[in-house]
Amino acid sequence: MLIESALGDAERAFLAEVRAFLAAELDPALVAAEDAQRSFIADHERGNRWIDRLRRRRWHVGHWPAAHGGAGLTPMENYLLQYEQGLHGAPAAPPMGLAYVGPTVIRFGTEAQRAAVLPPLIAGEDHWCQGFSEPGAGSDLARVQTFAERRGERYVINGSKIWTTDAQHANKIFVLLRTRRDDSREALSFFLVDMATPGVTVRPLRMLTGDHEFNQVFFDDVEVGPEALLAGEGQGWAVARFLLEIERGSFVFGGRLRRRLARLEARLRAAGRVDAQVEHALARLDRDLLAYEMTELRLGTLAQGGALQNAAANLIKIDWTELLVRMDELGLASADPSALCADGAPLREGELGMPGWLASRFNNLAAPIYGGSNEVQRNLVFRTLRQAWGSA
Amino acid sequence: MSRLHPSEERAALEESVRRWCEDRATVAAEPRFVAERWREIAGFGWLAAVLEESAGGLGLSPSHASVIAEALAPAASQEPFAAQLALGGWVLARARGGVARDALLETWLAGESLVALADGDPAAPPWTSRPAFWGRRVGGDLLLDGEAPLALDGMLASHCLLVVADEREAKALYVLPAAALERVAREALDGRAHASIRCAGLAAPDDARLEFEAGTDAVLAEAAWLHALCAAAESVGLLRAMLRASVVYLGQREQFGRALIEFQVLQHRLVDMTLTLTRLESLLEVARFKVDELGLLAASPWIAAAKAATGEEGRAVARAAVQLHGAIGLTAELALGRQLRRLTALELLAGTTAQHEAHWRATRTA
Ligand SMILES: Cc1cc2nc3c(=O)[nH]c(=O)nc-3n(C[C@H](O)[C@H](O)[C@H](O)COP(=O)(O)OP(=O)(O)OC[C@H]3O[C@@H](n4cnc5c(N)ncnc54)[C@H](O)[C@@H]3O)c2cc1C
Repeated sequence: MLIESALGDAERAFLAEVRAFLAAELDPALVAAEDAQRSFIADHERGNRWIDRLRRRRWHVGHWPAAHGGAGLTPMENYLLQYEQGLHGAPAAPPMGLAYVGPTVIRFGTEAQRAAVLPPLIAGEDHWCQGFSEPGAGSDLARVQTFAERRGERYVINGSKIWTTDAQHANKIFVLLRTRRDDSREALSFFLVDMATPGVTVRPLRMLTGDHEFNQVFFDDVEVGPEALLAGEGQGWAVARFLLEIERGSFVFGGRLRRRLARLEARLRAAGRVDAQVEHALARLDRDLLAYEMTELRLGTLAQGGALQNAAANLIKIDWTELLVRMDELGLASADPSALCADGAPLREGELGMPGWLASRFNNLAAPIYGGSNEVQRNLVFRTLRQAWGSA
Repeated sequence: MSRLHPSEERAALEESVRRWCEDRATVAAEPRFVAERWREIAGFGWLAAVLEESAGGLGLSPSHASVIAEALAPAASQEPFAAQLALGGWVLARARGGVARDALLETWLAGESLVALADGDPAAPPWTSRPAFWGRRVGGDLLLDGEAPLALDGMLASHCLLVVADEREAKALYVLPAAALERVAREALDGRAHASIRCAGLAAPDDARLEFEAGTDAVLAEAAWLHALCAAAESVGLLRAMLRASVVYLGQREQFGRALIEFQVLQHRLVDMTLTLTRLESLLEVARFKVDELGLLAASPWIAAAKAATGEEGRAVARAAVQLHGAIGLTAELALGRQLRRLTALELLAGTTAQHEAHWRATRTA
């Protein structure tokens, strides 16, 4: 790891603990499956298998405060934990519950909501999905139309959410809804909904690889109680922004991308495909990844972004997604027509036959789109840039 | 985890340089070297910062030199900080003490004299052995012949450090007064007063020879990497200034009935420049970190990565800055043009972009 020599004694000890844990718990079959994955999005089943192991140390909720059941790791400890997991090929954990919902409920929830949401989340009994996007509201998220109509104490929800990752595995969904019939952001509210509630249906959507990652979720007269509303009517936008900030900037992908590049390079070399041009491209990717690792640490973990710190999450999101896509595309440099067909790896229902790395090349075209497209991220970076430097 | 956080010294240095630059913003366009300004720079201790205490320095890690170079970049267009520090003071300070060396180092630290490294083939990587002069023994005398085609700041220097290959040893450094040498001015596109330096049959006194405990080659290589680190840092400082100027300019310039900054395509170009700048800043921090951890020579792969990136990617940021200014970006009045010329000089100095890229490619997995 780049910065290992600079760690203090306590951090060094923590890092050693993480490495020992990974050496003991991370079995090769799990790593091999993760390495062969067809997408950068966490695999539900594998991810949860890994979470079961992390749970013994509370490292699956490492950065949550101890008072709410987390391990209370410092940002630097959390960085080390995430980086090493990625570097050693640990399965990525589905983020919707542990990374997004947990901290959001800790921040905005009532005591009763925390008591209802956090324990089953920590215990691995609840699996969440994210209901923001709608057919008519993508980048312009504040335009969501799915409506929660108030009837006395209760709400009745009608409409649909789309591109909902892992809805096929989830038993809970958080949704950004409209609670007033006007276009303002004050009309938005944030709800936590049990997917077993009558009127919720999930319809699968196939990716262009045939893979099943996302879905459309329909709400037909879905009735929920007041406990489903987080932070009060009209607070939805503030809650959603808090959550999106996590989605964009809280990951540590340096280790995962480092492993990906090393594996790509090894594959290209083994195939004898490293000519001068590929050598050049590899060196360039290595350099850009080195820069990314330092950016992720400086801006994401240590908040050293200076005047542009407010844009940290946006800059990081653009950077890793574009690096990911470039890496995957360099993979094509090693390809010959045999890559057009399945390579013998087991396929799940509906998945089109092709090597995993090639499927991930297609599926990862999603990364610059999800979590707020990179164009939208650029709009947000610009806003910070203008605030910081706009007047001479 | 001290080295993950900027040291107090670093913060203080940045702040003092920034203040000096602000005070001098109005004279920043001064097209010539001004001796008084150079003495001011010396007076703040910036020349002494990274030299060993035993040599009259402050003993900070060499990475701090790059912090000064970065902060000075926007305003100090004619103060040859990077080259003087790396190829002058650093080399003198690493040499064993002696009457000539001590006196020169003292005046150099005071900003009263400058020195120029007179080395060979400017097209070869500067961290390789590049003697420019050949010594032969005639009787008791060592006579020097040769030419250094491009001695940086050669016309400003009171003394030159001649890289000499003699019969006994591969390489040695001789410090000689500039007046004893034949100097031809070579003014550079960034206004710097370089020189080609020549001598034929010049007798070098024995006490003009600098001795290095670490070995001449190692110290010259160190100097080259320190120069490269400072050049990368100066480039980042220039690019940040060019980006800021572009943000400000687009906010002021109106076309189509509104400020140009309202056009999203221009906003996104600014953001792409910001992304690149962030990447370059991060590579520079990696290089500094590695220098602190491993020393200049062992940190060379990461210095090379930073220098190659500032060359290759900085070019695109600078071009975008000119593009966003329109025609006025090509005029002599604007700081932008001066900055672009200096940036271009930096790309070719202290090892070219291509040389650093090749070094990174060859050493990155080591
Ligand atoms: C694999 C995958 C998983 C996803 N998972 C989830 C999920 O779990 N939950 C969820 O709620 N959503 C999810 N999404 C949806 C994602 O958040 C949206 O795709 C994203 O916000 C963009 O919206 P859109 O697709 O409707 O594109 P649009 O908003 O229609 O944009 C189309 C194009 O126009 C550009 N554009 C739009 N507005 C602007 C602007 N103002 N300036 C410049 N360019 C602009 C966009 O960048 C894009 O290139 C997922 C998406 C993908 C691909």
